[in-house]
Amino acid sequence: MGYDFELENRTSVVHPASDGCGNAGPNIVALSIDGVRTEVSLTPGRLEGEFILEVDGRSERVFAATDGDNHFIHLRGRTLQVAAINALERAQQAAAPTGGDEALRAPMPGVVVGVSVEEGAEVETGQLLLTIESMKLQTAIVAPFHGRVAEISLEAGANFEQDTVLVRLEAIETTTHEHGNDSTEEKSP
Amino acid sequence: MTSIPGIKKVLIANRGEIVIRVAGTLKRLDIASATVVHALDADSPAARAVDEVCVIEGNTPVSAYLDATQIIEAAKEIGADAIHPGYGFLAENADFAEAVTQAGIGWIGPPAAAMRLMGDKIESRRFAAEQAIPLTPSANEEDDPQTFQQRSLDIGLPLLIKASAGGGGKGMQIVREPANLAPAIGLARSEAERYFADGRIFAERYVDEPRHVEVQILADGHGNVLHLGERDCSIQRRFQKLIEESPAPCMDAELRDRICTQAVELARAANYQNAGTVEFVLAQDGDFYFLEMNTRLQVEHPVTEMVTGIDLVEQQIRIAAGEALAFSQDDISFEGASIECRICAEEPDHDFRPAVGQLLLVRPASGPGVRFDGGIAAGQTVSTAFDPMLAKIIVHGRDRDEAIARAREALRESVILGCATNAAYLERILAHPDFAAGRVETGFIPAHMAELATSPADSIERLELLAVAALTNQDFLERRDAVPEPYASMGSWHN
Amino acid sequence: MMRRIESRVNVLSEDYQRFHAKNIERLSEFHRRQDDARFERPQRDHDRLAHHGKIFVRERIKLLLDPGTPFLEFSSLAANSEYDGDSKGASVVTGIGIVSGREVIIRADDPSIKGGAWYPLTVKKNVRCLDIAIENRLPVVHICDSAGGFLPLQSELFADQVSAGRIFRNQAILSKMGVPQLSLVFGQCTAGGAYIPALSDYAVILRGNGGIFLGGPPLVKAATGEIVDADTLGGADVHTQVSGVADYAANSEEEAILLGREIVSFWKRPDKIKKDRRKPEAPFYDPKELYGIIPDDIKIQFDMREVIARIVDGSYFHEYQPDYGKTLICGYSYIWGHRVGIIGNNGVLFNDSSLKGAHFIELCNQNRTPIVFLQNITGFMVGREYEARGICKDGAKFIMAQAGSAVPKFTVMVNGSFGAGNYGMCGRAYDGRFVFSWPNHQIGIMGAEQAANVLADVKVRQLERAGTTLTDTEIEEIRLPVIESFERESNAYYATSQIWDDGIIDPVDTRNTLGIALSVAENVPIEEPRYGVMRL
Repeated sequence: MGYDFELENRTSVVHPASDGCGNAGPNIVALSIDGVRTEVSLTPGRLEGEFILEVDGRSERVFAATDGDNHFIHLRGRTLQVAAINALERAQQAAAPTGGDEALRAPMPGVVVGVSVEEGAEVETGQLLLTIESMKLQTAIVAPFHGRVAEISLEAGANFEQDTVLVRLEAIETTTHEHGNDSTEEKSP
Repeated sequence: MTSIPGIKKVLIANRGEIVIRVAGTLKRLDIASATVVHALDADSPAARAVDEVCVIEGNTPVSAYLDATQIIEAAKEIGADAIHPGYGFLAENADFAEAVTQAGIGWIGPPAAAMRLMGDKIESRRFAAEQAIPLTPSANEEDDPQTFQQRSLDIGLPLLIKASAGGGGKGMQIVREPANLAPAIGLARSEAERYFADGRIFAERYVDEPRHVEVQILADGHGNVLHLGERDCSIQRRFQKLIEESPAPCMDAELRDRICTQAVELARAANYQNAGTVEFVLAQDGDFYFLEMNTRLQVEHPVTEMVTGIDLVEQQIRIAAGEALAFSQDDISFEGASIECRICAEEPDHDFRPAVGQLLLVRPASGPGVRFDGGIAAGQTVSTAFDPMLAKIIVHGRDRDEAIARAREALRESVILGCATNAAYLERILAHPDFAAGRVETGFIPAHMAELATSPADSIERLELLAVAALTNQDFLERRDAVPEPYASMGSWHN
Repeated sequence: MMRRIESRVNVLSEDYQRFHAKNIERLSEFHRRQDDARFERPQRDHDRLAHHGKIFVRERIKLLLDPGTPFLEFSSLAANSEYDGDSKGASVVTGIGIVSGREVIIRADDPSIKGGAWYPLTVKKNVRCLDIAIENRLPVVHICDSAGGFLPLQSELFADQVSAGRIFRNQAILSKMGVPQLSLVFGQCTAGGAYIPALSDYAVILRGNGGIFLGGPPLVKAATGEIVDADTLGGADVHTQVSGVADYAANSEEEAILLGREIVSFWKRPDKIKKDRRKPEAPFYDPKELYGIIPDDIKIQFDMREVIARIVDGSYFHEYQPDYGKTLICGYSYIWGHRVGIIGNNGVLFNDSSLKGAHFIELCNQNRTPIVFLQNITGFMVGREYEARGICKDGAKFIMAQAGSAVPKFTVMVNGSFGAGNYGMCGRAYDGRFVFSWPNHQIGIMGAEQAANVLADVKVRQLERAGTTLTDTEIEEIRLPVIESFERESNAYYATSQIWDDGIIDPVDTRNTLGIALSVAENVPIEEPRYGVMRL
């Protein structure tokens, strides 16, 4: 959430790192990057997307543009991508229960309007599995995770009660991200 | 520039950089320009580069640009005197050329008959053989489908299986083991059907470490056939050209003369008119074999323009208007060296898989001897619907070394943000000692795979990139600015 | 335009060198004790935490805070002289930090000590941190992971006015004031502990380790015979899906903390009172020179201006009445850009210095300037002459002005705090926003020597009336235990153990500590001052 960035499949933590006195120059920003404190300045240049980056007395002309979470940076003749990571999203994915089955239960009594997948099918997160109707409203039952349809017990037209198992899903392992060096500079409080 | 009688408005039946390229010449010749656009390209730089735009539709964007009827209708509607087909799409479709002519519209390209003869790989090879042009041994499936596999094996391995109607490397398979022949045929056929709607294929001897050398031809309707020198297009990936240059490196005058002469003779014998390219495979021992003829303007035509100073599109238009070439072979001089690099939306480290995205910033390289032919602009979406080529950088230098240096500099200076490109990869090819020494062959990229791979960012680069990302990241800045004083200035102090 | 204090400290002098060596020794003792309280745990406790997949409390706080921002910890050595040292830091970590750009109080149970059980001083530290929240309108993030009250000492933590009930009372008061609270439930919150999340505006509960119940499974079994496991009784799913006691379930502590950060990011920012602010400037003189200024012996006098010069912005100080009542230094300055009035002792309080102090306090109240008290005081002057001049009357004015003061007050115990001087100079009883002490500090009703002499004298006169005379040895036998007990109990570590202050700090940290204290004090409007009857 604003501090984690991924470059070449490695996550780095970047955060402000004042010297404690606020003595840095007007355009200079102190950053901690992977636990190393660095004073940098990034000044917009004359051209669109152009910046002058100064680090440790070196000055580089860079071009940078951002598309959502993706940063495209042209530095010393080549372009690389840095992605901003939503730490909460990543933590939720990392901590989400993996493996095993999950039964998708009816949120309320109703009738099956349509079945969109077959048993054994591999489904992506968010893929439509069933459409149900209850109280004159149709609800889409979608896959909560990437998995395989283990069981669909109802056919179109079938009635069900609240909490009836509509679909049983088996999780399929997805690759996890690699984490980079953690901060070495700061002790925890 | 004197105007060309009969041609006041030209419809460019294409998209992307070539539209802009052709439109540039049209403007210089005081000819009105128009192009066809699919909705996806409605706001493209190509659409903005012409005087008039005709919207075409299709189930897929590509199918719109392949819809001959719609395009001819559009040309009629706007009163175009001629159609320039560019390259790709309908450029080598003789039926289209014929339909254009029958509709009373001028065709800026060779006559349909010459296209039929030279544009068909099998027909053109038969014809070349009759003219005593050297050919690699080959077998044609059509001659006897039952014995095609055996006849192919009789040529001797390695073999190349190709689409008869193909081009641009699509529908090609190499076979080094007899067991792989049958699957390769299947693959080649299905690709041929997919790309060219024509499943005919043939097999030919595959030359190891071959070079791809081609000769630019100009022929008018008055019996003049000239060559504008050769181009080496050996640097390829997936059978598609990435870097082209003229003159070809490490080629002596005698060999150059022989190849160019053969090309001119072939074109003359075929009654060829307009611009065309005769492609050869050049073996390391100096033997060369006729490969095919491209009956259109090539993507890499600018390198020839750079060394000869001749505008090929202008010559195409003049020939189409019935003018005779205003110069003879002896008038053509070759100055210095030129290199073209194709910047593509792709990831070289991941088997050149196409990259997609929305272009955020485009800053073409410029400077002496640098030409940037691109049809891209910020805001444009790069999708897999079209060819991944985004732009071409063409440089000219007094000699090959200077051209390489300028091309490298231009690649480093070109900024295309929003989608992965092969620009840095191209720069590494140019920097490779084998390339500098002229040791090029079509297998250059697979042979140097490891040396050409992207090196990871070093610690300094990493730090710089992360700093730039953080300081241009809205979320980061908001979070930083949310910290009140004196806390922000105290840093991570803890009592 | 203020003038810079002209320091007369000679860093090459013998005294400076000797003081410096002594204070470095004191400092390393302080850091040794602090590191021990913060980090040293028996291996089995670390193993137990790891076994339950729990992150150490200090790591939890680090994840919660905005990276690259400070943390002002309170009473890191609370309870160091009690319970055989078992309850390190009183088993709870409290402090002010920045979460999603907001100043908050963090109150985090430390499950690495006896399962986070609350000792009497744990309760005192919890109450104090919530008092700080109330006094400064600071939102609170609770990280709940406590086994509950430490039963062997229940009588000391349950029933009194500022016992455990005060924690929940303070939570309710805070909420009534419109100040938000968030609980991250990482362990079991049993009995009273269950009210911490229940009284919070937001509660995140961890699946697995997190549990909230009025009575845990053993109590339920004893009370009703019902046999139920902890998760079924009060786990994350029960409380977020059925009971509504908690609002969000998380699958990992990291997820819960990041979710907590997101919740805090939606809290409104406090309406800070408008004050003149200057651009902060580091002190001109190096704060590390404080180590060579504080003497190695409490009896040696030093100039408080040298201390002020190493705390305030640019070492600038406008001294009020520089030639009157010279044992009390009064004047204006800036700390981290905040205007402050500073009152510091330069000797015993006389009639004139008491009147000067009272007057200066009134001035600070008139222009809404917070006051920093720098205590190094042996007391008010005694003797016939001073009594006759009415030292009690003048001392009373000083105390009356100080106690009736409406501006925020902050006290730093820099060396000694004895007798009624402690009262005049805003000791703990006077509702200053914060009290911090330096490691060399001593505090007591009087000095150990004086106390021993007074007690010995009383004894000698008693016996004289009975016709007995004591030998020198016998007198020493009376004096020694008094000296020993006074020295032990007037020590800074004893004081901080009892939570008579908000913690011992390294002298060089005084500036940042006060900077944060001044910042949070701005969350509350300053009322009109009103004083009692001044005896004139």
